[in-house]
Amino acid sequence: MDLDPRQYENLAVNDNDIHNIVLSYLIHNCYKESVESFIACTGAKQPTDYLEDMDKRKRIFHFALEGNALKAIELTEQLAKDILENNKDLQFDLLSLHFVELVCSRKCTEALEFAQTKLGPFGKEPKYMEKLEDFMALLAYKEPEKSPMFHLLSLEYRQQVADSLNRAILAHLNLPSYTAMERLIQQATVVRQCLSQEAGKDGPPFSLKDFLKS
Amino acid sequence: MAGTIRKEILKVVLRETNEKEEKKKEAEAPSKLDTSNSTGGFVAVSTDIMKYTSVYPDKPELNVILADEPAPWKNLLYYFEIYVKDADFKGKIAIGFTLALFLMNIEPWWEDLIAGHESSHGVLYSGDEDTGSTFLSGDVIGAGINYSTNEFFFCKNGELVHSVPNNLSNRGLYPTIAVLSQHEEMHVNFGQKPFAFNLKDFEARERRKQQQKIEEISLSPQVTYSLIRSYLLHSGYEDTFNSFDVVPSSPITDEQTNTLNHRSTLRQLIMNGNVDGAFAKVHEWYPQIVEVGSQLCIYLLHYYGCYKFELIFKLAYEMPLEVLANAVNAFVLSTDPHMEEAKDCLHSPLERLLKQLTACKRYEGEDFLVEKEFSKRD
Repeated sequence: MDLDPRQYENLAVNDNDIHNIVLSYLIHNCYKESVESFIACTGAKQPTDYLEDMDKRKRIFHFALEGNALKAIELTEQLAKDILENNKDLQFDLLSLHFVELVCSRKCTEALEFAQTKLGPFGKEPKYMEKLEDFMALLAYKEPEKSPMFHLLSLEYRQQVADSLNRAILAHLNLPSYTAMERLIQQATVVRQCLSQEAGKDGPPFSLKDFLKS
Repeated sequence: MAGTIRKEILKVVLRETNEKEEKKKEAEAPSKLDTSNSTGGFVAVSTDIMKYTSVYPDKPELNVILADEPAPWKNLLYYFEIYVKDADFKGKIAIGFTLALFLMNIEPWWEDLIAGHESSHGVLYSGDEDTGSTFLSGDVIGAGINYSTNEFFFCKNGELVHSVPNNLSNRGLYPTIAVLSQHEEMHVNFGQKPFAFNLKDFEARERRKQQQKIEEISLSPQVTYSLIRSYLLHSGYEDTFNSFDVVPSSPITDEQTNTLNHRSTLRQLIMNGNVDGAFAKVHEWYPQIVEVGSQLCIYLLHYYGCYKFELIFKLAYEMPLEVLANAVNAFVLSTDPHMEEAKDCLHSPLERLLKQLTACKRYEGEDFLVEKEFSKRD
C-alpha cells in the first residue's frame, strides 16, 4: 500500500534536522545572538566555519539594508576585493541604492553628478540602460515616492539588493548561498505541484500560501 | 474540546516516537517479454530473443506482446530497447507502452497507436510517418517514459527521435512491441546490457532541468522569516525568539506568546534531565493537564507491552528527552482556547512542511534525507 502524501502528519521528523535548518537560516541571515542562543537551547553542534566573518557580513548587510551603499561597498571590498569586480549586476544595484538615497534626501544635483560619473558607464550595455532610465526618472518628480518608480525606494528593493550581496559574499567564502530553509520550501512546492498534476482533477493545485495558513 | 486535543497529541507523540518504517517491497521491473501476455504468434527463443512467424503466409498480421511487468513509475525515467535482428521487408514494427487490458481489442486502435498519436490505451511508435522511415534490420529502437515531464520518448540507434505527451496514469504501463508483418526476430534489452542510447546523460540533463525548476521558485524573505519565527515561538525557545523577533510581526495575534515563558522553562528543565521538576511546574501552572505524566506512562505501557505496574513510571523517564519536551510543550499549548486542532499544538508550519516534503518524496520513490539534501554546498 503506497503512502498517500496527504497523510504526512503521520511521519516523524528528526529534531536535529529541524535544528540544522533553523540554524542554517539564522547563520545565513547573520542573527548572531539568535545563533548563540539557539545553540545553547538545543545543544546543536556549532558549525565553526559558518560563523567566520558573520560579524562583517552582518555589518555589510545592514548598511545595504539602510541604504548606506557606499559603506557596504567599502566593507565588501575590504572583505574580498574581487566580489564586486566579478559581479557587475551587484555593483550596479549597490550604486543605484546610493543614488536612490541621494534622491530621497532631495540632493538632486549630487544625485545627477553621481549618476553621470558612477552609473553612466553602465549605460553602454542595453540591460542596464532600461534600469538607468527608471532611476533617472525619479529626478523628474518632486515627490519621488509618489512616482511610478516608487518601488525603487522601498525597503523590499533594498532587502533584495542586500540579499544578493550577502549571497555573493557567502559564495565567495565557499559557503551555501541559499539556506536549507529556502531549498526546503522550493522543493516542497515543486514536488507538490508535480503530485497535483499527476492527480489531475483530484483537488486544487498546491498553494504554499494556503499550506502555511492551514 | 481540549481533552480531545490532548488525546490526539498523545497518539501522535507515541506513534512518532516509535515509528518503525517498514521497507516496502519494491515493484518488480520488466525483465522479459511475456508470451502469455500477447496476441499469440510469438515464440521466445530465450528470455531476451523473440521470433514472430505468421500463421498466414500470404498476408501480414497484427500481433502485440507485452513485458512481464509494468514500467516502475517511482523513478525519473524508464527505458527499454529492442534490436531488430531481422525485419520483414513488408512489415512494420512499433514499440512503446500500453495498458494491459486492451490487448483483447487492439485492432480498432492500431492506426492511432502506430502513428504515435495519443490514445486512452497507450502510445506506440513505428518510425517517422512524414519521411516514411520505418525500422529496418540492424536498427536499435528504444522507448521510454519521462515521469518528470510527463512524456513518452523514442530513440533510434542511440538518438532521441520523437516524444509524445503522456496523459495516461503512470501506473500499469507495460513495455509493448507490436508487429504488422509475417516474420521477424528481435532482441529485447530491459537494462541487462548497456543501452545504445546514453540514458545516464539524458537522466543527468533531466535532473538539472528539475533542479533549475526548483531554484527558479522565488520566495519572499517574509515567508522564510515567518516560518522560523513561528517555529521558535511554537517550540518555546524564548531567548532565541526574543533576539530573533526584533520587529515583532504580530504580537497581538500570537496566542502562543502567552505561554512562551512557561514552555521555555519546562523545555529547559526536561532537557537538563530534571523531569520531576518539570512535572512539578506543570502541576503548579496547569492543573488541568496534570495527568500528562500518568497519561503518557499509560500510553507507553500500552505501546511497549509492559504489564508490570511498577515499570509504568520508569518508562516516562526512559523516553528520549526531546520527545518528552515536545510532548509537554504540545500539552501546554493545548490549554489555549484558540488551539482548535492537535496538529497546531504538535507541530509548527516549518515541521509540517518538512513532513510534507518527506512524504511526497517517499511517494515518488525517493528517500528524502534532510542531512544529505541540505548539507550540500552550492
